[in-house]
Amino acid sequence: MSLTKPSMAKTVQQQFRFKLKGFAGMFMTLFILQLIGLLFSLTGNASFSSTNAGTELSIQYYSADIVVAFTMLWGFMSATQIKTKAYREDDFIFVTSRLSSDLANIVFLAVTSLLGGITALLSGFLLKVVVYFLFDSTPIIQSGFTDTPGELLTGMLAAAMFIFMLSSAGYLTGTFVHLHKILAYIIPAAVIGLIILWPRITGTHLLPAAGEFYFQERSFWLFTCKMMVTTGVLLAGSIVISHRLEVRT
Amino acid sequence: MLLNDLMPIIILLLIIGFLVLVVLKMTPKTRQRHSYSKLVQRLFGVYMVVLILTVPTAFMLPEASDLPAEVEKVPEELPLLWELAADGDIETAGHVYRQGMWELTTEREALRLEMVSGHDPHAEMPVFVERVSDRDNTIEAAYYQTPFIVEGRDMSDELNPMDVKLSSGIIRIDAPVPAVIELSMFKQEFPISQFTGKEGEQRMLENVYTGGERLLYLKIPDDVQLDYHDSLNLHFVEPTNS
Repeated sequence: MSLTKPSMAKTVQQQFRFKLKGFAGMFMTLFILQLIGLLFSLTGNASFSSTNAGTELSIQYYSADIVVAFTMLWGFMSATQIKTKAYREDDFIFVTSRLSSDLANIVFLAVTSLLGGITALLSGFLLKVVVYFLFDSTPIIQSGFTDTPGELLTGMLAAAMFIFMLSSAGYLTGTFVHLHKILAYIIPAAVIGLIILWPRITGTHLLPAAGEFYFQERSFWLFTCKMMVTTGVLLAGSIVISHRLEVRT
Repeated sequence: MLLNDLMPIIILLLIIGFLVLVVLKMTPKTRQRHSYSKLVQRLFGVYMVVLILTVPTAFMLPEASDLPAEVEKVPEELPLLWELAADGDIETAGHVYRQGMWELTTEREALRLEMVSGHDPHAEMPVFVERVSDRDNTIEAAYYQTPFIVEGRDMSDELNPMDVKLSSGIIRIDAPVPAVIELSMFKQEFPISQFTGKEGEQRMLENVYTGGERLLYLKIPDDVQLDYHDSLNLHFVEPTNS
């Protein structure tokens, strides 16, 4: 038994470093999912065709939107995995509490989300280079991606926040499942049920409304506020539920 | 019908299911060995280096030489040639959009109007006829077309020309062969375009092109009898009181 009581910050830092190395498989999954996303994007992620005005106009649009979406999904799935028994066991290598374990997980998710956001946005450039040299034979209009460094940085931060929000939702889901395994089946059913029933109760469709709330926000600062509040609520929920789990399970 | 409606959702669910499976299978269930962590670190490091190197490379990609230059200011709204022609104002308000003019002379008292658009039904073009009293034996045909601006580039030159001929009492309109324009475009990812004000996907698809409206405006002496098939998109300009 150790007589020195390590500070919370020190414990969180140690656990975070440990997770960074120990959860290397997650980075491998991120890498593979982004490659799959890039493969899906090679045929273009949107197209337009029209036969108006005596023309047959067709345009293929390329961007890494699919990669960003895949990375968001990765964030969610990875976060649920962190709360599985095998990963939780690792925390007990250290002198730890549930709070320090949760905080280390949250820092880990924040860092991986940032990394996911950066790589997802950068993969857009890789996609464009590959399409230019290998795939497309039609004239390519490039004016659509005149990103200034500021725009690119804003995009990376926004993508990271999207991923972190999804990770937080995944972390909360994982925490619920930790509470009771049956919730692994109840939660998806409840979410799907809510999506179906919401329009009947309120008259508005949940997914488009949520999409508009987060994805149509034009002000970066308002967007950041929305993301911080949502993520904060999700993570606080996870911590509160974790505290109810008094016994090591 | 129902299956067709559900197909995109089914495909989406299959893709998501596949991705979830990939994540679950690829993410090790136990802490990885040190050597594995090192391998992932190296692999990810190489990936990052490749990604960073593609940034300047992407900016250095030359633009296709056969693309027209960007229009400095895309007109927010072009006039509707149809309205101008119907009101008899096209010569004054729409003269800048006149792309071609023909003067055809005939001694005949009756003419037949025919349009050849055998390539595509979409090639059908509206024809406006104004009856005039001061043009003995002379038919004037004017072809109007607004600029065809696609994704901020004036592609008017890509559109095929038309022709008007008169022989054996038949005014023959050779409608332009539909121009096939195939393009690709690099777009900003949604986390960027959300804040730059550049359009989201829905607005993007609404603002792809503008203009490209075209019509033929004929001035035919009022003493010449005009015969035409009902399928022709023909409109007579009402004489204005002024």
